[in-house]
Amino acid sequence: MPIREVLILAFESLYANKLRASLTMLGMIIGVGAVVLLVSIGNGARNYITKQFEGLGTNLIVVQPGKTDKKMSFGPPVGNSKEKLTLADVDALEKQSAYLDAVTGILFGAGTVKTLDRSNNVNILGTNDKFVKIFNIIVTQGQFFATEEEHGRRVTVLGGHLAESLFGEQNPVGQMVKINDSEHRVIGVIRKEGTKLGFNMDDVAFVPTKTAMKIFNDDKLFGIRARAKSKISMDDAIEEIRDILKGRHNGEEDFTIMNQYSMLEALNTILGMMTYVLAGIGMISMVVGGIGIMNIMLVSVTERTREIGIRRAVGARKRDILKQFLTEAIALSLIGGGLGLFGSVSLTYVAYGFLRSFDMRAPAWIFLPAFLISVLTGVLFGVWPAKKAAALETIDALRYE
Amino acid sequence: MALIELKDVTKIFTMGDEDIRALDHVDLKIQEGEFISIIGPSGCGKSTLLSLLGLLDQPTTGVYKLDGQSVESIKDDQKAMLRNQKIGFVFQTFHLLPRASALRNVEMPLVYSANYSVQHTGAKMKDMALEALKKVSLTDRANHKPNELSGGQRQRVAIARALVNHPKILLADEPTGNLDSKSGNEILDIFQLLNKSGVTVLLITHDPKIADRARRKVLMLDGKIVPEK
Repeated sequence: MPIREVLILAFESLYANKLRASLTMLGMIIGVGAVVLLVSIGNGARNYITKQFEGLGTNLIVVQPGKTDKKMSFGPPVGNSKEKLTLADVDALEKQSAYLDAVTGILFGAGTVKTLDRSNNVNILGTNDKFVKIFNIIVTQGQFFATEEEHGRRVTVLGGHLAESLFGEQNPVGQMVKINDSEHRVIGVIRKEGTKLGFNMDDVAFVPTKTAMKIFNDDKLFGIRARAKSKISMDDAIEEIRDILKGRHNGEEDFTIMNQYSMLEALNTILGMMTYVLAGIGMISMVVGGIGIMNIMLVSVTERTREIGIRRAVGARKRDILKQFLTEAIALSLIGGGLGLFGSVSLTYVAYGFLRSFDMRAPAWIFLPAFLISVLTGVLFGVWPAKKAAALETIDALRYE
Repeated sequence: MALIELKDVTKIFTMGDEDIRALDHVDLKIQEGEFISIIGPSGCGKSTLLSLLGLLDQPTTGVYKLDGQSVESIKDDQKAMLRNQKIGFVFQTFHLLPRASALRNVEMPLVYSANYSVQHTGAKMKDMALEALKKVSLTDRANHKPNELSGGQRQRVAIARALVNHPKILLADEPTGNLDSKSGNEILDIFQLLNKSGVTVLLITHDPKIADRARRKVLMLDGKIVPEK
């Protein structure tokens, strides 16, 4: 039986039952649409986070107080851990390390920055002169802290957006601001960078580490940030930090060292798993769609028992009947899948139009698997009804009422 | 050589615990070009006989030779081929596809002919179907659906479908059973005409008047053929 005739038959039959066919397709539309949409979102999230990490600064090493048991778990243990990192640890690293380029301790907390007529609630970040180097910060006006300002002088560097909202068109450098009720002189402004990993540097007031300790009345560091001399020496640098700090902490490893690659890896593992879970959820709706197809094909076989008998009587072989019903099932799943693919891909593009910062546009590679999975669903759920149709005895089929 | 030859054919259906002997040691020979009617009351086994002859069913025991070829050993696919190429069916209830036009109904056997002989182009299929419709004087109704046709016209479409592949034998099961006498007569006229042009026609009926139109009459009772005079 020529393929052209098989296709004509399939489409004639679908066209004759338009409403039923479209409702059946709806299952596939939703199924394929869900898979494509969820995979696209997962993919977009992964790209987004990778980009964020890349923007963090190169060869960054993060040391946080407290020990996480599992290597892969993401995020340092923050909070009231007894273990602490101190400025002395930072000094030791700076003096003893061979693989580190720059080290800074950081303190972190909420605070208010006031001028005479304005007041902003912002994040206060205590750090030293190395911060610019570690995080690739660009100073647009004035300068960042010099080495000697480490000793608790009341100076501050403002994030680009904060400076704008406090001083407008005026040059902020040299002006005085009140940070939590103590006067600080603005010595510099950094370039607006936007949000990096959920942390907006544009709305931060930087102060020297010891100044921050006074503001927060705390001698514990939030953490240590360092930069390895090169990507190759990253692992050596981490080992070195571990040795130095362990030596200073009575041989106890009461801290966690991470670098952006290991963090990224851990995050990607989680995101990858999430993508699979999402795709799995989508697959469930595919299976539901497939069952819908099987259901409607079984109904169709019963309804058309007599037609099957007639076709067999005029010379159709079993495999011709099989082909006819299987093609119909595949046509249903393929058209449904195609519409679902088209719909969900368009949706991701529309969403990207509204939300430029998060690129969830469907990746090009999604087309082939979406196509294959649609065909596969049609075959998988169409083959049983089609076999049932082909197995009918001609004489019984003809007499079927 | 006979076109159809049945030797000692028995067909038994099992209904629950009971065995029903639909055909009981039947012998029958039909020569090419005959116009034969098989007559008998309902339940005498004549429809079963037609199903066997048309390769829609197989005998429990006995030998059936079609065109010299014993059919018990041939495979299902080959039976489909023989139905397509050598046999035309006409049923009491027409058995047309309700959604397809008369033309598409007549074309249907040609679609499957591609499996066995030539693959016709769409245009060629249409020509052949129209030619068959012409034989039953229905060219002007080619694009009508079955529900837009009268009973007689529907049966003529069914005959055109049976003829489209130029079969050797036409098997008709109560072809006038659902028709008024005028339409029934038209159908029988067509059969006679076809027979004159060389097609072997086998007609099954319970109506003696219709059976009389055939040149040879065979009477069946209780699954047996009553010996011909």
